[in-house]
Amino acid sequence: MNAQERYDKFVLPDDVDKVTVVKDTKIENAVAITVEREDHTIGNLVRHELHRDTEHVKFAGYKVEHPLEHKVKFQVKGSKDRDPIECFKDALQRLDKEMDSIEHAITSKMA
Amino acid sequence: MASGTCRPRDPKVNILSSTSEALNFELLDTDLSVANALRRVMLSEVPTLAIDLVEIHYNNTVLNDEFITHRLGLIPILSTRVNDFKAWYEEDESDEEEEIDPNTGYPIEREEAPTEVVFKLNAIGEDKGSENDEPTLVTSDDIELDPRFPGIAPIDYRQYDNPAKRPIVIMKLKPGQAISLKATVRKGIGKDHAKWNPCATVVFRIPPIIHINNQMLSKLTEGQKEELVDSCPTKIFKVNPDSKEVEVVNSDQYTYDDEIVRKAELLGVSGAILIKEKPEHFVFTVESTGSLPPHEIVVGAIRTLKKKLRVLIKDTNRVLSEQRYGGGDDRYQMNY
Repeated sequence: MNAQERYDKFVLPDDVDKVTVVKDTKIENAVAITVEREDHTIGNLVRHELHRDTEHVKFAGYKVEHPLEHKVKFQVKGSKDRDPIECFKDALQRLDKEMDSIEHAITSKMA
Repeated sequence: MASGTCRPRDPKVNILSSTSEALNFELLDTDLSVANALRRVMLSEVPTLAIDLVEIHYNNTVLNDEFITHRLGLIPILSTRVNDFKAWYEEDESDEEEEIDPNTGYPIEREEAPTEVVFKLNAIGEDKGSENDEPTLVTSDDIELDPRFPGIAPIDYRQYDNPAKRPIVIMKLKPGQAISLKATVRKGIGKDHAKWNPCATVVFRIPPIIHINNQMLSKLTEGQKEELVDSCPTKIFKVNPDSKEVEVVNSDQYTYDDEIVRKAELLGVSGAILIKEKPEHFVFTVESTGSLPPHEIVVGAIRTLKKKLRVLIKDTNRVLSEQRYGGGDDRYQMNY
């Protein structure tokens, strides 16, 4: 009766932003990035990519706060001279490049 | 944009075996999180086609309407052309600027991607005479395709001359029973309902690296060696009958149970057998339901992931340009 619609898991409502960022009030140069309608697939992937960037990222973690709320929340702390949101974007762009090279590798081998 | 020493990885792929039903490949030089993201996307986010809505006009069979609808939904539909379709929840792909016709000055009207294909199914239980009380089979071959989309059909559709390709049985009818329905095929993903999942199985394994110190093992008697080799539940070790040394037979089968390592400790030769996971090496097995060839599932998963990442990059850029994040917003209180 009060079950969610199945599409709630992956359809972003019109009035919701995909990415929202809140600055941490207690930790310097740290933000909480909430990504709507994503799950552990993106959460774990991006967190590990952030961890590779040891030079600029001091801390990165993610959580899915509730199984019925379809969003992931990242906590990212950047180093002194680096905006943590930029770090997040860089991680996404590196992953995007990596996906390109996997796709290229697999299509060239299958052809 | 370039972030110092941190560069994108360049993973390698080796195809181990490939058939129309299953694909085996190695993914090298990347992280576990990437392998797992790929696996998860293959299972639940590669779009396919499946029967989604069913309109039943007549049904006096022993199966009720919902039951038949569910069975129809689970029939794999050939989805190689799924990208020509649009799911009901998808926005128009044409996010880019509208193309302007240079002659008229008006925007060129794009053809709207189709969202639905309509199948029909009509069947009557035949009376085969009193001698033969075999019921009439209603199969995926009895489905009438949509004349607008002759390529969209259940898998192995009407392959009468190939005995290996048998149709899928939907129900059985006694004489006098009949079914008449209209089924709407739509695009969807496995996250919505498992009927849209193109995979039978997707698994990846990490091959083991096994070090055997036969010098240490030489302390053991032959009986103890046999005991050690037999302690492994998957029989991947053996004692060489000539040299009496312990050897690995088939390391792919290893299940990381550690039984043999503990047995070695018990026999007083701890450290004689060391097993660890091979780093940055993943062996994938992708099996298809038939709706998509396995390599298209993999490529589809990569494209889906890329699409997700691009949406995130775009929206992160929007946040960066607005720079309107602040600490005081009650809606997004920080939790510690």
